Amino acid sequence: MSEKTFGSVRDLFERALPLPPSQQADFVRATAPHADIADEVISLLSAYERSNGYFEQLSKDVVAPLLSAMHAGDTAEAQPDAGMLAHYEIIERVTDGGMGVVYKARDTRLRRMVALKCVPRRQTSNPGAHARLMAEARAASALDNPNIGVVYEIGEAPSDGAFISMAWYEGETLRAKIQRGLMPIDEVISIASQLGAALVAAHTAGIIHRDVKPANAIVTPAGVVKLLDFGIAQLMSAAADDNSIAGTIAYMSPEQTTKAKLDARTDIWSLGVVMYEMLTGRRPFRGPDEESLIDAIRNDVPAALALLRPDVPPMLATIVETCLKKSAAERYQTAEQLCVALKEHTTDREAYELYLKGRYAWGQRNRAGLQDALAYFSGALDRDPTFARAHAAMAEAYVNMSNFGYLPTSEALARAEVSANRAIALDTALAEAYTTRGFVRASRAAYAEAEKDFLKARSLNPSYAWNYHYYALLLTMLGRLDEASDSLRACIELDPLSLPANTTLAIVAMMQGCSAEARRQFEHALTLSRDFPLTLYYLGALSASEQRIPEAISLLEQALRLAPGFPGVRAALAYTCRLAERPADAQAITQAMEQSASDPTSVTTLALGYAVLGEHDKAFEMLETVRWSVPTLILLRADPLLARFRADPRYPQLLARDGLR
Amino acid sequence: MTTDTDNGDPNPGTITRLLSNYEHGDSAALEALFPIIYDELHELARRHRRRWSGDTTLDTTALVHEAYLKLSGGAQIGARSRVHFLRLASRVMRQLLANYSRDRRTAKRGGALVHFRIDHLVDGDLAAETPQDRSLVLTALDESLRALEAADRRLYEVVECRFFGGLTVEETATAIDVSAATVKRDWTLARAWLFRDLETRLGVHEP
Repeated sequence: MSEKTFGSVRDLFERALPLPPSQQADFVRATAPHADIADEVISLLSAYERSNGYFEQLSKDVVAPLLSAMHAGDTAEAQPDAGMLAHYEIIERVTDGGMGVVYKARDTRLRRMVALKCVPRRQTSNPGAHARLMAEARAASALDNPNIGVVYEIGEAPSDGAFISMAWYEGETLRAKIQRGLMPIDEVISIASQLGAALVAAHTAGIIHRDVKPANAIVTPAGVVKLLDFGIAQLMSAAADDNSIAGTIAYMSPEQTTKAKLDARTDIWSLGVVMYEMLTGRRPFRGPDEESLIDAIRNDVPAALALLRPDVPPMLATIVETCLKKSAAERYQTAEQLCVALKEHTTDREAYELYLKGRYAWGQRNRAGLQDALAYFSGALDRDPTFARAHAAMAEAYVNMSNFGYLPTSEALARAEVSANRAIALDTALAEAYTTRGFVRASRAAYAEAEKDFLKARSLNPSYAWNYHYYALLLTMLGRLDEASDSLRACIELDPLSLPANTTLAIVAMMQGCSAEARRQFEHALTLSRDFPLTLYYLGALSASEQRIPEAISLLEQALRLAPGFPGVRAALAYTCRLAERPADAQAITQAMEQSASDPTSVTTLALGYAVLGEHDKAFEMLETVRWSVPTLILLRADPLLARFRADPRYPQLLARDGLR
Repeated sequence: MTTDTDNGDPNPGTITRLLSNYEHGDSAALEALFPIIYDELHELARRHRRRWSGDTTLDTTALVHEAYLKLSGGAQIGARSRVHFLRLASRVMRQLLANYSRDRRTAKRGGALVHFRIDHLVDGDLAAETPQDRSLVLTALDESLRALEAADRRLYEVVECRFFGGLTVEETATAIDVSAATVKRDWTLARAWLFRDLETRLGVHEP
């Protein structure tokens, strides 16, 4: 890159940097002299955003350990990786980040597994102070609470240091859990309450933790939280260099960064930071280096939780904000107060469990599963009528009942709309509810309002995959196929196993005239599940249109078996039997189609059936009064077996009725 | 010019004199200082390692400052000279780590390259858990720094001072003779540049 180019890159980078990240790209594109420069600047801005804290981490986690390993000839490190320490047999090193090293070890006397933490002792620290800290750590080890990790022994190591042996817990650290992805609100509340309970017990005994952070909490497979390292933070900080502040700065209270005298309220702050991180996946206070991090802790107001994660209930957000008051006097004054606030907030547990069961039943993706899900959701709402998420789920389930033809469309959508509106009234930040209402509006041909709902949902929760899918359906209906395809890809990126999104992506490819690509994508969807009626139907129809008769028959028969109400499935099968020169079968299936069309919802199905079978007059006559559902309208536009029907001069008028072209 | 590195510790007077000569444009002084600081950093690192669990308190900043205290012997050598010493020590530190990563690379030639994901390192205090991970990251960092040096020398110098020597913004400004505001801006841009370059070297997947 030439000097001149680099100069303009630098200039633009520096001007765009103070803007909010969401506006940076637009600004750069509007201002850059060339697209190349804009790309370069945007790429650097994005790198900068992602690099937050990286170099500090690099220094601590990579450079420092290597420096100390440098003289060992290889990277074998200073501590014993095997062997004995007092009466403990070292099994493996668990971590050596932060302060001190932790080993998994076996207590050879009591024959049990322990976590052995080795704490370095500062050579110059005065022996009296060391003894006092050891005494304090021993006092803390007497704490007896189900949420506090059991300390077995605190001892002096023969070679200049202390070790602490603790119960070995199977499970994962809260840190690892947070890193795996956003945690459900309910789980956050459960973990925060347990950490709070641990603090209540410790504070009552006059012990402050001083280093509450996700790496110090183990969550066992049963969901029990164990807070570790009580009374050790000070021992550790005495071991650290006087110039540096010990521990993980990110969780420190403002008063802790000033070496002020600490009380229990510092732990309440740290728990607030942990809750914020559990809810959003990011820490409230950030900075590229120690200096700016400390500055952020003292002065910055963290980004509002509602902005980062709209489904955080306002009450819970208030609890976290109260923990994070800069002045300790404005926080909860005791851990007990915090626990009470959390408890008051918790959703009725039983309602929540019913809701989860409903979600699970829904996962079965068949009629029985959906009906079970509806029953569970309505059970949850009986217990807690203000449970916004259950209303939203109910709305979504009704939409699915309609899509799969398990319930008459108009009835299902009316119910869906009532539930979605109720959910929005209870919680205006519930992306799911907007998505569902958007879908209902799309079904009512209220396209502009529908689009507004989808965009609102997307801004509330950009990682809600389903919204991208429904939005893509609207775009497909409107013939905006490129946008539909992009939205589906966004959905699949978030939820690679989504059957509807993977199938719809194939449908859109088919509509764009890319049959080979469509087939590949359908086949990919089939590898995800062989039981999804939509995939089976469309691939069957595509196969029939390509004269792949046995394949088409097999796929359509499976679709019919799984979803007999699916519009067009009988007609497509009859059509294919005709192609296969099996007129008797075709006849029988057509009759079955006509007989099954006894209720008004089946009018569309029957009409589309006639359309597939080439009886255009009948079809157009019936369709005159039909209300389209989203999937049938997409079927009308996408089904390869309806290609001739779409070539009929009456077809554009049919679409125009709903404001479509 | 004579130094007494060959037989035991250089005395603080020597260091002060060399620094003063260096500041007055004597490049030979630099050549004499470099190995003294190099040896001192090496020795300090070794001593830290011997402490029972010492690696947790060891970092480049602490080492560089400790080397300064030791070599200057607490003598009053003036704020400007101190900054120049720290600047030089940062460079030595960078060299020390570059040599180390080069040696490791030579030793490991032929071994399978571990695919290390940078996103494991971001925000994670236990991320680079094995010595292999660390060597890999250090090697990539060394390569990225070379590339940065070629792209923009001043950006590189700021990184050297801030990252390897732990110099403050003001100290860095004095050391490379620009304003503090420029150092701040350079440090920001350099980190963005380096992070992006490291990502490609370490094989990150775009989010």
